[in-house]
Amino acid sequence: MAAHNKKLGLLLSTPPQHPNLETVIRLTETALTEKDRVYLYLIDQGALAMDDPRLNSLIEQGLKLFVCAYGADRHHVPLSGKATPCGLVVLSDLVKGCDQFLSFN
Amino acid sequence: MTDRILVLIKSNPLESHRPAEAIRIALGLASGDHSVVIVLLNQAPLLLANDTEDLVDGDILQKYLPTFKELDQTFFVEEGSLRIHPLDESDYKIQTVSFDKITELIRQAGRFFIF
Repeated sequence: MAAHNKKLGLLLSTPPQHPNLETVIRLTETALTEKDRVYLYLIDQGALAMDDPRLNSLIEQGLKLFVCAYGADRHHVPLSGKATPCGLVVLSDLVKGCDQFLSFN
Repeated sequence: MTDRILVLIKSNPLESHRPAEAIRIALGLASGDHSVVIVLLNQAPLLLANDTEDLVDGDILQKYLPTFKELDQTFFVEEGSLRIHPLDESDYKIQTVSFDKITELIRQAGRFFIF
C-alpha cells in the first residue's frame, strides 16, 4: 500500500490570471487524490483567488485553505468564510510542519 | 535542513511591490523557529539603501526592515548587484556573495521563497 497522509504545504502570492494558480490547483488535486493532506496559503495577490470555484471544489475534497488577512485587506478581498484568515505565524507553522512546502511567487 | 528558509529577492523594488512583501514575509518567518537566509539580486539591494522613498511600498519597508537589525540578520548580496548598487552607507548587516556561494546557500536550505 502506498504511503499517504503526507502533508503538502503550498503558498500562492500571484494573481488569479497567473499560471501559478492552475499549477497549484493541479498539484492540490493530485495530492488529495493520493490522500495527502494539503494546506494552501494565499498571500498578497494570491488572496484574489480565494473565491475561485475550483478552490471551492477542492475545499470540499479536503483542502485546508488559509488567506493572509493583511493581504486580503490590502487587495480589498472580502473574507467570505471559505478560507481561514490568519497571519504569518500560520505560514511559519505550515513551513515547519509540512513534509513538503512549495511557494509559487 | 528543513528549518532553514531561503528568501531570494530578485524583483526590482523601484517597479514592484513584491520585494517589500518578501521582506514582510521574511520577517514573519524569522520570528518563528526558522533560520532565514535572505539573498538579494539585481536591483533588490536597493531595499537596504538609506533612502527608500522611491521604492514601491517604501513605507512598509520602513516599518519592517529595522527589525532585522535587532535580529542581527545578515543580508547576502550578490557581488555584481552590489557593484551597481553600492551600500556603503547602509547600516544593515551585509555580506557580499558570489553566485557560487548563493548556490551553496540554496543547497543548505529546505524551503524556498523567490520573489
